[in-house]
Amino acid sequence: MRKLFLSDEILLSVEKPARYTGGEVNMAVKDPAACDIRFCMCFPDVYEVGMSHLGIQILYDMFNRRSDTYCERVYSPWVDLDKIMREKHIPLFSLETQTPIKEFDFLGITLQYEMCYTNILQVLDLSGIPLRSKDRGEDDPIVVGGGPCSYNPEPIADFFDFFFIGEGENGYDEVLDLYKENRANGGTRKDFLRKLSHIPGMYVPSLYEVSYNDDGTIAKFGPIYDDVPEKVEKRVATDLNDTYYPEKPVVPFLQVIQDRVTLEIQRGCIRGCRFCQAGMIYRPIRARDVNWLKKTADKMLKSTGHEEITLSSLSSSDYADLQELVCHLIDTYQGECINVALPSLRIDAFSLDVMSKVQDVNKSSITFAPEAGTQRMRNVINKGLTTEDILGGAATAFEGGWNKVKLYFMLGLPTETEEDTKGIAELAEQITEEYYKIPKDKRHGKVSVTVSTSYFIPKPFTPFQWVGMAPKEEFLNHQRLLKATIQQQLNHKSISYQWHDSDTSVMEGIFARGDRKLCDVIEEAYKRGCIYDAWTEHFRYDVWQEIMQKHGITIEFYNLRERKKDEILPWDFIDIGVTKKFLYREYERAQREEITPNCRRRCSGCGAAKFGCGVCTEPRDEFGTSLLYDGKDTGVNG
Amino acid sequence: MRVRVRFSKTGSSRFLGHLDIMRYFQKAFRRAELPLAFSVGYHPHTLLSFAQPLSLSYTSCGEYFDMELKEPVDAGEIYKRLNSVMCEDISVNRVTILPDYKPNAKKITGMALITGAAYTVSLAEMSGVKEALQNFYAQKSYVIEKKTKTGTRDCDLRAGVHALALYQDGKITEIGNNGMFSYTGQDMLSAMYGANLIADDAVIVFLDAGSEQNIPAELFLQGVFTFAGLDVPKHTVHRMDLFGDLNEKKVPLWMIES
Repeated sequence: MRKLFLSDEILLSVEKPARYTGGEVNMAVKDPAACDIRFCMCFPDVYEVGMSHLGIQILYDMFNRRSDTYCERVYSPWVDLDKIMREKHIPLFSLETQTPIKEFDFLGITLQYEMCYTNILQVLDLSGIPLRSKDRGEDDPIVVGGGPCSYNPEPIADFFDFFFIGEGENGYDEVLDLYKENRANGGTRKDFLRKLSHIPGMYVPSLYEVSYNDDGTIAKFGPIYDDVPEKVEKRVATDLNDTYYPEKPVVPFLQVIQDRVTLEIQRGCIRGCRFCQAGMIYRPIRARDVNWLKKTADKMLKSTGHEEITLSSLSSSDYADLQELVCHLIDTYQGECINVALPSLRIDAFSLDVMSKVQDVNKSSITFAPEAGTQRMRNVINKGLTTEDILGGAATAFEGGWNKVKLYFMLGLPTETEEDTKGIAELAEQITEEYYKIPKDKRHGKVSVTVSTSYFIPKPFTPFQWVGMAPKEEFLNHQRLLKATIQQQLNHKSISYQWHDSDTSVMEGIFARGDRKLCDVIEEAYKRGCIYDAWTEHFRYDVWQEIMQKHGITIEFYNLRERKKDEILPWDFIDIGVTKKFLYREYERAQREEITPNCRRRCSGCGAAKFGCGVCTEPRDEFGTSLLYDGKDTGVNG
Repeated sequence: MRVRVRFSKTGSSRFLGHLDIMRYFQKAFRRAELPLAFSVGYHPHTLLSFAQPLSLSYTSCGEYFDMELKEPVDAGEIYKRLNSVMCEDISVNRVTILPDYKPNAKKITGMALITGAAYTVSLAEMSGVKEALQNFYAQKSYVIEKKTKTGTRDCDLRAGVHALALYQDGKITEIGNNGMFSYTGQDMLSAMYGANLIADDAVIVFLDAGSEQNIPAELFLQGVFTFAGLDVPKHTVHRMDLFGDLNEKKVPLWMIES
């Protein structure tokens, strides 16, 4: 029987003690003494959030397939336990063997959103690991970061020994083998990191130095030594049918956010929406074989006992065999009362038909993500969805018995005018009108349209990486304008409006395009008690403002200013395949309100073709159109 | 087909709440590929009924649920299949096939049958405990105020205690037994579960449980030690079994075939 690290008294005094006790179904059980490498995988947020993440499950499975490695898990202790651990000087420990994190060889932290940065320091601090890489000794774990935020690792560069840039399925074996070899040869931590920097995709921040101009922009960024590469090229899992995927994912006892089997059907996206970072960093799109997916779905459902399966991708309607896959899942599992959760689909006859099979039409809603209210604005962001698509989709859904519609938009987009904001209200109004066009006896009660807006944040490696983020006041004005416009409309009682906290978005903007100067700010904020910044109730904007002012970090410099074409951006040293030249070209097209065709219709030469996989290698006709092109240019809803 | 399953909950699983255990078994049935019967509707659920929730941090080897299967499966097969998919600290220790409900008969599940429970309470400090138990058991009644959902009400704690025994230095001493339970402390330890389940010295107690009159183990401890004028020592609680009425005796739930 595993001995628990925390005493019964402590476990009984905190909320949901099962967050800290492990022992879940499919947890990896190994003899740590028989493993050369102990790797602890961390999602720096509370258990229920972290356990919902597919990426960790993939890597956990991959590491544990190695007989020389034991991979365990750790999540951020919730604020109640955090307080007790500090008071009683209890170190942070892993779930599996309940071992202090400090005893591990590696601590791997996944970086899924910027607002988790102070939680990284919480995990390091509670583990007793020095916060800064430079202060760590031979006995401390090697701290590695990965995931979407590692595509601009600079704001947290000082806290990590290295970053794994790209997809973890491809490259970790080289890292672990090198670690073993270095240790066998009596090499030091420094020796390991130096050799590691020669492996493609591995960024060791301490081997690079940066100098700044008087205006705060970067003057020079580069490696300190000649043998360290100037550019770090992301790792790509080129063949998704021949790689790691967890057939037996860990099944949490607690109700987590994603309490279901997640089947990743493809990675990447062909659409090229100009605000979307995932659409660029995961290029090129690579699909998994439909038969492989069917087999994997079956194995995962059997090994977990989950009652639900969901498909994961950035735009499921672009998956060529979607119809076959979805019909197979429904036919096979509906009799066993396993729910098939539908991902973001284009609203058309097929998706409505499928939705009516798996959901209660009276209760469920259909979702569109036009992202912007006018066609002009949608052209700027390269979101192909037209008003006709939306109204047509809504009309078909209303005839099928639905009466609830959700709409997602962004405010603060580049070139936005009052007309664009009013356009959101008008679109919502048009949808309600569409409902009242159908005969009265076919309607199911009142129509309900929910409009939801978020605050656009420019992200690295997007065509909008140069733009100024809208000032908070301007964003709030647009929010008020939208609210007022909705109120003035005829069917305003059928439309409800939801919005997001703007202060969090301001901070997220600063982190997203930040540089190494932010490390001091994040460390000080943590020391002043900031953790769980992603949770509105714990986010303390006043503290952040005070610290930024002290360090001379301005919103003007990081968020509001337009960056110059030739400015060295903090993340320029990373090579994601997609070139800076392409991104700038896209930025210029955005300013001219020109749309760019998707990857299947025509290749735009973004640069991702150098990886030689996915859509870049699909057969094409004499016009350069992929034979898998489905003729639909409309974007996907959601 | 109706099936009653008894399972144990030990080690790290003692920190799983009642809802988590229910969710856990829902998924376990699917992993075991048992032909579960479902309710009808858009959100079908398995026909499953769990007995008496166990307090967080208690261990147990006598937890129960009743389930319904679409088609008959042999009890030994159910036992084998469920145990092949359990996590490290939960295991099934008995499977009983129940007779089908008679047509139009009221459906009584394990939960409603419960009238008693047996616990072992391991105490960090044993001095004065024997005397405290003897004095307590010698009382005719001991009325305390019990908190309920709506307020407080009087509860005769003594009347809810049917048998008491002490396990010390590897020996059982009976403090008292009104004969209501079909087992004694000695039976529970030797015949059914083996004394190896309790490493420390412990009190063995048979209490009223269920919807009529429920005496939680914690309430019993508070009562006995308050009566003796002592503080409740540090303790851990293990539930040995749940009981229901059969021929005017309280017998383990698995023996009741309804």
